[in-house]
Amino acid sequence: MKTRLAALMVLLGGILSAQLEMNYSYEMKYGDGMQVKPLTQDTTDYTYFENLLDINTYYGDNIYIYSQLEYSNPPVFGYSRMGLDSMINAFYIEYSHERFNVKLGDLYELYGRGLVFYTFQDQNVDYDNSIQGLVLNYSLKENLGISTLVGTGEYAYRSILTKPVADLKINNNVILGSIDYGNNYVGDLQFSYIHQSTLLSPDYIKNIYNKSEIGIELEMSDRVPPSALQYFLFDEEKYWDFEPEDIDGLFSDTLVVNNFNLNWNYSIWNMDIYFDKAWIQYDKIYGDEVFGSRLYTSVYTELFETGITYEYKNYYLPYLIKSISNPPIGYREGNSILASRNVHSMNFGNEIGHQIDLNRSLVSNLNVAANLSLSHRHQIGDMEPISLLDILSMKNEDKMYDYFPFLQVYLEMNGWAFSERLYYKVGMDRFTEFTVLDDSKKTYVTTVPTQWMWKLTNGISVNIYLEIQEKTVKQLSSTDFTLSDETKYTNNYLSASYSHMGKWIVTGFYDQEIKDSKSNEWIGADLSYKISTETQVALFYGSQKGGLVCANGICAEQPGFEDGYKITFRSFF
Amino acid sequence: MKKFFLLNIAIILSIVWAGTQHLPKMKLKDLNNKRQELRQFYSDGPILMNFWNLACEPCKKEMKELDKLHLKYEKQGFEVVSINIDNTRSMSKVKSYVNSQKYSFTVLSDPKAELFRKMGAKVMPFVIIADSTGEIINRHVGYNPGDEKELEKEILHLLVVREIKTDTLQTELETSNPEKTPDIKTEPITE
Repeated sequence: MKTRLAALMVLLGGILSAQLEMNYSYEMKYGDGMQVKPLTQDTTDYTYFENLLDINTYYGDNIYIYSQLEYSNPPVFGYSRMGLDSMINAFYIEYSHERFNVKLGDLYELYGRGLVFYTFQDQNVDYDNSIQGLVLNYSLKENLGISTLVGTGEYAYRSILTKPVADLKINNNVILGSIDYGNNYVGDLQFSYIHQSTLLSPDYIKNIYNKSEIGIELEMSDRVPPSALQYFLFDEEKYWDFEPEDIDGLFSDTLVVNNFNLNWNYSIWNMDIYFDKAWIQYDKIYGDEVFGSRLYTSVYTELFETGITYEYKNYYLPYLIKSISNPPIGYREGNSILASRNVHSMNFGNEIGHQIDLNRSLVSNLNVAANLSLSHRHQIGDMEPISLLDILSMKNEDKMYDYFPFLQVYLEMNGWAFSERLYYKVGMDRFTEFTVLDDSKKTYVTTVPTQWMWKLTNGISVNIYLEIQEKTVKQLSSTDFTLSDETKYTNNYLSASYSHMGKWIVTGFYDQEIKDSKSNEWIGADLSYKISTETQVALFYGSQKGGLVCANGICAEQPGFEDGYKITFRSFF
Repeated sequence: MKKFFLLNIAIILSIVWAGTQHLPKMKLKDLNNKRQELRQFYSDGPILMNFWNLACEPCKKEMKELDKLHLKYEKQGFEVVSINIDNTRSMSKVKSYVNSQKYSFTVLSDPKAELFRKMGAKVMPFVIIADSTGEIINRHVGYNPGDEKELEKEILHLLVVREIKTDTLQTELETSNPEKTPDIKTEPITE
């Protein structure tokens, strides 16, 4: 239905319109090589072929249509899409007038900082939590507006990051109402109410039962009907007391979530204050309604020509399934190749955190940046209290594990030298985290990322990324937290590019991991050619280390790529 | 298979049919949380919009060069408008970074990446150059040192075209009403 509607609206209707304006963005990725499975280290043949075409259509100033078509067999991440019916990845139509704006289709919307509603798509990690429905924004006055959203959506995600495709699905129905008001005295205020009902299928509950934090909590509770236990624990029908066709009616569950959200933005002197609070009533699986909240605040100011940003988060919604919200993470995401392979295991339902970020230009061509992030879980039950100093020192380990403490410190110096011919960036990233999820472990990582770019004459430049990393992972006994195993890793990464007039670029990659004196290397070369300012093609040959690919808070485990070639083509027209 | 073939034909036809492209009518918030109409930035001359986020290193190098272009040609009506697409994970740190760099151009925030999507962008850095009517003249993907020379050529071309149009209009006005004609010329272009 969506395919037919989109095809009809975008292509045929558009062609006949005199006021039509269109632009297109096409991206093709092809790869042929070997794949190393992250868990088993088995090597298998690996090919992918992914095509994405984004079509933007405008009818005058008022009507806009967005369509994203995908043909993939298979894609880099996610399910194959080969049929016409599955080809439309995303579609919406938007009508704007002076006072109002209406969107119909796949909705990508943000309210406040996403504490209760933030939907977006990220192809890099196969993420899309959009809601299909209608959103209406209406400006009553210049400083007073209302918004309403009604929709339904299927949200799919991975039970574990190493899964090639999303294996867990839930269905959401959402009704949202919001009001915005702002003036020079009170700042900008927004209040939103969201009613969300989430349908969990018996298969979904069966798949998470005893396999995730929510599933373990469900197992420990006495909420599961005994007959449902039979279904969750046994795969064979002969152990069940009911007919398979009755499963949906008997064991599905609808969770109702009521969100009340208030956010406030205010500037005073040279200080920007942002405050966002959500009060949330939600159901546990097969359980009663419980109450929780999320609080996020940030303050920005400038002292002695230094930009200072402080962020605080306090999220307490234990065992709530996060689907349409994407609250701020409150820590720094590394943008170096090696540092980004270590990501804090954030819990959006139970976490307190602080972050301080500093930026300063020392002299005209020298900048310094610093960041300190820390977080921990709430004190529940008979957990011993801890202080911020405990997190900062990451000592007193025995009483800290239940808090999942995390600490990250980052320092950076960058600038230009030699008449702005040399750009340099030298950083130091220290990551420490204790977790007690599938296995108890302590992770300590120190990364030194550097970048050097030398501008030669006539648009020729050389760009070098050189990074080194030392990582120690200590596995602990699950009973008394004594050290059971310790693994040390050394990672080295080098990439060197030669850019000729910005027209073609040759890059060599070298990635090395030394684990317990055993070295693994991944070597590759890439040639990219700019056919025009809007069209590029790139050819890669060699091997690439697999690992976490994270973007916008979502991570997926990319398999290693061995002895093969990849082609990427991008064009805008 | 037949449907797939027909769909492709329809896409190709619509590509052939599509002509000029303009910047959309849109409002975005600046870093002081004030809504700004995009149109106001190209009413007096050509505009260059670059899309970036804090994690994009080439974008930051490009913005240093764009700042120089903005300072050089702003008196002729040229504007650089920088569109930040950091989402809720990092948007609170954008103002701190921008202020530390002391950029002379305006920075607007597009946390839902709406304008980014509408412009057909997929990767960053992404630059759009449009004339004073909002017509998109060119798009640039990626940045390598030296690319700013190509951007400067395109900006100069647009400024020269605009100066010729302004001169023609001035002459026409003076011819029709020599006593009441205001001077509508901007400062002359100097390379």
